[in-house]
This record gives sequence, C-alpha cells and structure tokens, in this order.
Amino acid sequence: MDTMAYEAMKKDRIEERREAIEQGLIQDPLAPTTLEDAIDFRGTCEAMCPRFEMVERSLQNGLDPLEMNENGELDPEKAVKRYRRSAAGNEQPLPSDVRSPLVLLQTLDYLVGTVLPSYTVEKCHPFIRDRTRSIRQDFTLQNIRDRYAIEAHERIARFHILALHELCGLDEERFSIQQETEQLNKVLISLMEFYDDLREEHRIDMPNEPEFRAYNIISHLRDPDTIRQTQSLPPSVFRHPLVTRALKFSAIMQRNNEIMETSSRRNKPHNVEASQNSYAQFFNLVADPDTPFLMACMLEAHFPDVRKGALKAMNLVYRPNTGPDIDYVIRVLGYDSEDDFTSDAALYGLKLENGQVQFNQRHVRTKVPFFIEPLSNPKPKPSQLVEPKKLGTRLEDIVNGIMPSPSLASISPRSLPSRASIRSVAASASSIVSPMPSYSAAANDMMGTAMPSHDDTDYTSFAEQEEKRAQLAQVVEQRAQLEMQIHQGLGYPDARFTHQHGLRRSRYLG
Amino acid sequence: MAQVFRGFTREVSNAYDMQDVERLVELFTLDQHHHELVLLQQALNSVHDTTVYSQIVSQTLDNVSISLANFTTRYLDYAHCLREQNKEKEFDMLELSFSALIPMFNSSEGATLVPLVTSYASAIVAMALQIDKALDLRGKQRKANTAVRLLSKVFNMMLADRTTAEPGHPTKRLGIYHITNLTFKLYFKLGTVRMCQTMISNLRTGGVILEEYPIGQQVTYQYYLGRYHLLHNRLPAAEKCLFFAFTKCHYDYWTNKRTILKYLIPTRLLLGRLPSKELLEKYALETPFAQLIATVKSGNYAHCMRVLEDHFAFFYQCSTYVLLCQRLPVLIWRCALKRARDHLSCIENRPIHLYDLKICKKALEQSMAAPMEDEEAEAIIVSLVAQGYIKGYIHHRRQVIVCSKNNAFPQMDEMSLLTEVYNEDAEREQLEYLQSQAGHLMTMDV
Repeated sequence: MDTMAYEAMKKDRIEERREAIEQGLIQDPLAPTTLEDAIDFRGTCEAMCPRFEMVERSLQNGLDPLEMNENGELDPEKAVKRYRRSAAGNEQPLPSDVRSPLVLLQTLDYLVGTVLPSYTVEKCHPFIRDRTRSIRQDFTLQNIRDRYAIEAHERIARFHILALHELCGLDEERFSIQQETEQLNKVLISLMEFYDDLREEHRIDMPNEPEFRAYNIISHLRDPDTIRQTQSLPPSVFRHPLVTRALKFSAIMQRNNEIMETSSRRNKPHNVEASQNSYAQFFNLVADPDTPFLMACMLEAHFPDVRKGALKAMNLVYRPNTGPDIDYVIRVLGYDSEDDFTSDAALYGLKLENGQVQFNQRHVRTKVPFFIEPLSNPKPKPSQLVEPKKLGTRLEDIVNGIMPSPSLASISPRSLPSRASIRSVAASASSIVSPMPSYSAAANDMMGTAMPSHDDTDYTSFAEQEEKRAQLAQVVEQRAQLEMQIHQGLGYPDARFTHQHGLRRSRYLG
Repeated sequence: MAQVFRGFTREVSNAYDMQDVERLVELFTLDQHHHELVLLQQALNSVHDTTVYSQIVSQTLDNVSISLANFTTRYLDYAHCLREQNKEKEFDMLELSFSALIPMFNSSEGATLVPLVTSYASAIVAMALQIDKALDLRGKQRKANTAVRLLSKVFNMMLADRTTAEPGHPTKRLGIYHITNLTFKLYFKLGTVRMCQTMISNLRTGGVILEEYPIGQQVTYQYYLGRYHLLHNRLPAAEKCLFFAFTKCHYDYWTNKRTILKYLIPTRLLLGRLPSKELLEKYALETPFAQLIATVKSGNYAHCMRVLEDHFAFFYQCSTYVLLCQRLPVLIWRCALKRARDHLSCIENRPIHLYDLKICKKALEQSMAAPMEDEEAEAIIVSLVAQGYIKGYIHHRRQVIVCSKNNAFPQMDEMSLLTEVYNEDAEREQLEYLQSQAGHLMTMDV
C-alpha cells in the first residue's frame, strides 16, 4: 500500500461522490429536500471493511493488532470497518463505504464466530465492541429496521451482557462498566423500537422478543416507563416465562429506603410504597436453574444495590449482640467470600465483632441508626452464583443464542465445579471441592427434591471433573450438529451460515 | 342553488363582523343532521365543480378575511364529500378545515373563536379514534397522530396568549384545558404518555390556574394527571388527583365515576385504604375488587394471585396489573402476620408481644400455599419491620420477633415513606467519634 495509490483513491472518491449524487444514490448537500423525498440510502460495500478505509488505516497506523498478520501488516481477511463518530461537519458517506445487511451479518458472524473464540474476552473485547458499534451504525445509516437488523442487534446485545459478566472484575482503565451498560442500553432501546415497529406496521412478532424484553426490564429496573411499555405488549409476549421471570425479579428488587437525591449523590430513584426488598429470595432466584445465564449476568450488576438495600433494612431491625452471624449474612446475601462482605461492611460503616454483625449502632448525637451512604455503590464482581450457569457452553454459542440449560446435560449444575474450586484442586492434589453455598440446596428443597448436603459427598478428583466438562462439551457439540442438520433439512435459505457458527435460534429450555 | 351559497356566505360574513361566535358555531356545524347542514348538502348534491361555490366565497369574503374565506371553502368541501359516505375522506376534509381554522385563530382577534375551535377539536378527535378503530389502523397511519399534531399547534397558540380575560375581551387561554384534555386522551390511546409531561410543565410555567376553569374540565384533567402519576409510581400524588376527580365528578356521570374508580381503588389499596362494600356495589366493581380486597384482609397471597390472574384482562387494560402484582404482596404478608399474632393472642388469652419466627414462617407459607425457606421468611419480616408495617425488632439468636407493646401493627393507611436527606456532617461526626473511641481504648491498653 503506497501513498500514491492512496492519493489516487482519494481522487477517485471525489468522482465517485459526484456520480452518486447525479444518480440519486446520495443526497445532494446543496439541494434541500423534504423528508418524504429523502433518498433511501443503500450501502454497496461487499467486504467487512471498505477498500479505501483499509488503505487509509494501513498508511496512517490505524490498524488494530487483531487485523494484522504475522508481519504486522494489514490482513485483508481480518480487516473490519471501524466506528467513526458521525460529526455534523462530516460528509455523507459513499455507498461503497457502507455495508449491505447481508454483509453486516457476515461481519458479525466473523467477529463472534472467529475472533471471539480465538482470544480471551479481555483481549478481543475492545475490538469487538468497536466493530459491532460500526455494524450498528451502518444499519442506522441505511435506516434498516427489519429482521436482519433485529438479529444483529440481538446478538450484539448478548455480547455486551456477556462482557459485563466476564470483565466486571477488571479495573476501571481496562473495562468500564458504565460505558458498557450505556452501549447495551442503546442496543436495547433500538431493539425495542424495532420490535414495536415491526408489530405495528407488519403485525410480525419476532421469536426472541421475550428474551430481550426481559433484559430490557432488568436493565431499566427503576424506570416506571419501561413497565408501562411492557404492559402495552400483547399478552402472548407479556406472559412468556422469561418476561414473567424478569418482572418477578423487578418486584423483589424494589426497595423504598433510598436517600433523596443530592448534588453529590445523583441518580437516586424515588421511593414507592409497599416495596418488597426481598433479598433472600433474590439470591435464591438468581441461583435457580430456571434463571437463564445471560439474565443472571444482567442481575449481577445489581448485586451491590440489593445488598446495600438489604443491609440498610437489617440495620433497622436487628440489634447489637443479638443479630445475625457474619456467616449468615454472607450466605443470605450471596457473597462469594468473607472479604467481599467485610469490605462492604466497612464501606457502610457496619461494625463487626465477635463473629457477628453489630447492626443498629446509634449515632452519638442524633441516636439514629448509623449507616454510611457512599458517593457511589461498590462495583459488581463476577459471581459464583452466575458463572456455573454457563454449563461449559462456548461463548460464541451464547452470543448466538444458545441458552445454557440444565436439560442439555445429564449433570446437575450444582455438581459442576466452580472455577475457583478447580484451581484449588489443581493446587493441592487431594483437597475437597469447596462447597457451593447452601442456599441452592435450600432452593432445591423448596422445589421438593432433597439434595445431599455438600460437605462429605462432593469430593471428586480433578480428573473426574475434567472428564465431566469434556462430556458436557461433547453433548453441546452433538446438539449443535443436530441443529445444523435440522436447519439444512428445512432448506434454510441463508447460505452464509457455515458449520462453525450455524446456530441462530435462541431456545428457552426449561 | 348558487343562492344557497350566497346566503350562506353572507350569514358567515355577518356573524364574523358581529363576532357572534355562537352563530358561527351553528353555521359551521359538523352535526350531519343539523337542518342548515342538511340544506347545504342538498344544494351541494348537484355540484360537480367546486369552483361553483369557491368563487362565491372568494367574492364575498376575501375582503373580510382571507383565512375566513379559506376556512369557509374548506368547510364546503367537507360538506360536499359527505354524500360519498367515505369515512376516511371525511376525516381528511375535516383535517383540512381544521388546518384552515388555525390561521384564523392565530390572529389577534382569534380569541373570540375559542368555542368554534374547541368544538372542531372535539369532533376531530372523536372521528380520528373512530376511524382508527373501524379500519384497524396501526403505527404511523393512525389518524390520532394527525389529530395530535393539530391540537399541539392550537395548544401552543392558546398558551402564548397572555392577555387577561375580561368580560367582552376573551383570551385564547379559555379553551386551553379543553384542548389539553383531548390531547391527553390521544396520548393515552397512542401509548405516548410521556408526551404529557411537556404540556403539564407548560401549563405550570405559563401560570395557568386550573381552578379558574369549569369543574368538568378540572375533573377530566385531574383524572388524566392522576393516571399519569400512577404510571410513574407516584402513589400519593395519584391519589390526590384521582380523589379530586372522583368526588367532584357529577353524580350523573356514573360511567365516568366508575372509570375513575378503576384507578383510584388500586392506588388507595396500596396506600392501605380499602374501599367499602357499598362503594363497590354502587359502581358495579365487585368483580374483581371485592375478591381482591378479601384476599388482602385475610392475608392470602395465593388467592390474591389467582384473582389477579382470573381478571388479568381487566387489570392489564388498566395498566395496574404489574403494580398490584409487585406491591400487594407486602400488604398481604403484613396482614397474614397480624392474623397470626391475633390468633395466637386468642389461643393464649393474653396479648402476645414476642413470637417465634417459625410461627411467622408457617403463617407466610400458608399464605403463599408453598414452602418457604427460613431465610426468606426472615428477610420478608425484616423488610416489613424496616418499612414500618410492623413495629419491633428481631432477635436473630433466639429466632423471635419482639413487637412493640402498643400498636405493633399500625393501621396500613398511617404508613409513610422514608424521606431521608443524607447528612454528611453527621457521618463525619460519627466517624470522628468512633476514631476517638478507638484511640481512647488504645491509650487505655497502654
């Protein structure tokens, strides 16, 4: 790629622009027109990245490492169009700059099916995040809101949710929860609009809508307008188990002990009468096998707030010396480790003594129970309640819509070892698998099936655990093959779906 | 036949000059059975070319007011199309008429035309909703959207008129609540409820005083405002508005009062106030509310959920289904525990202030008709005590709840929400105190 070729291409583009205006493919900036007469802009780029951008970024050192070959040069098979902010001064993009819907989906297939499995989430996340943002932008530029746009946005949303779980434990510089949530919300808002429009104009109900309405509810927990929107859905969507489950979570997470908003403490939702604040049920329900993995990932982000609301309520109700043990609180509030709880307790000004939480300490002067409201809630961390729900499913399958389900494998989720326990087993050859918190045992008790207690019967050797994981992976793969056969048998029209990532339909099993 | 048109236009001109708005409303009636309109229709039946009347109108009225001439022509266009019996065409013609009315209204003398504008607004809204329903229009094609656009224009014109009303000198603002109420009706039907906020804010900042308007308009406005608050979970504000609407609504309007009750009852229910049986009977709301209230009083969660399910369509249509599903349980649990306490007191023949969490759990399990974990039961009780539904504290070690000796279960309608303004100074004070205590202990050790 040399500079002369680049300059020549730039000249060609000016000519291309002139022709496009002439042929009515793009708007003439000098000729104002009305909204009704606006041109339906359509992209013609057939590659994941327009040629011109490939050349430009190669020359200007704008390549991402994931787009390079071994010599550090551009690999055309790996180049993907980058997101560029649409500033007011920029010119209208050329048709050759913008990808068609089919190509956009192929690009997404590449990002999810090839890039994601090849690196750790931490390494490829910034790249995928940026490139999927560009995919969304191309859909917006062409004002395409059909089922292709919906499918792309669904998979991108799942990616963001997955990223939140995988990366929330990282520092602010390496991963910003707030920015990720912002992007996710944008995708969800678009999706909700697409669903509404498609139903209003064409009376079509998309099959995955309940899944994403559920995510939307959880994402906007304290926003009454989301509930109102949900209640204008047709009953068939509203009554879907996933939406019902999300609404249940919404109900038990409502609390009315929030402080009033001040200039230093913003974003405090207002308190509403008769709120459940049913924290024990919350963590049990997260652990419940019928709560799908991605839904649990979204709920994970709310753990700090639920815990704070719970501790604040407990602070009014228990008394010093007669209150619960530290272990009890850790169990009930789904903490993974004592350290996690201790740091929260310090943050909220709760006194720990004699293995107990000494709630209801009075202020020296006002005699009001003392509870510190930090300037912002503590950050969520990946939780052991959520991680096992993955059930060994590949990340790319999760993004493409395979919901990890217990019925998939003959192994119950509780007997699958957590990552922490695998590491500890590997570290010391004959240690016992650390027991899963007993609330999930209790949850099963609630369902009426007695489960054996952990302490003695759950010893499995590292080799056995590995074997179980391999078995599970095999089952998933077999199922994938079976699905692909079914799809092919149905004469599935979209040839772009290759064996690698041919599974699209999300399925709610359970 | 040209005579009819000439006569008509002359009458219009006279009425306009005399500022006789009642006559204008009559002349431009939209009531298809009104004798004047019937006469016009008959005359128009034999007309195939609109220039027949548009010329006459121009001749007579162009000197008076161009916008009046336009409006009159559009009105005749509307009357002309009535014979086709095509609802959609009628609406389109009505839309054009209304659009022509707007410039007339916009002039500085437009304030006298308020009755004409409001009657046209009511008609266009009614027709829009009728057509949307009859033709099952969806999305952007709904005529309600057109109506909203027109009403917004009128609203802004009315709002902008800041002259004070005096006898003989009306102000455009006289019609503002009429228009607002019509617009709210459309917003609720279209599902774009958040658009109400702009109008609510504008009315407030514009200094428009609700109490100065006819009580009928006040009732309607408070009804929609109450529903708006309810959708945003602002229960006390919703109650205030809906209560006003209900009590001030004239007793002749039984259906309207019943509609208001469909929202007022759930609101008050969540605030702990139960309606009387007589009220429910009077307004034919025993199903589903009587059953619902019985379940709350008896603290029966399972039954309550069943009632909500059985009458799903009713609650879903009012958008109160989720609200009740999410918040009634708290009241139900409170009632279940109270009954347990009363039952115990009865058995033991003395007031009980201390009782076992196991018994509470049993009471809750019975209410839910499903087993419950110890921790879940305890968490529910913690939540109830923290909110003030039960006065007392929990002795976790002994697994008992110790209730206050008097009024352990306050009346549900006496509850009030926490409004805590965080006090950073108090936080600092306490932390300093604790540090000094720790320092004191250290020095003591030494």
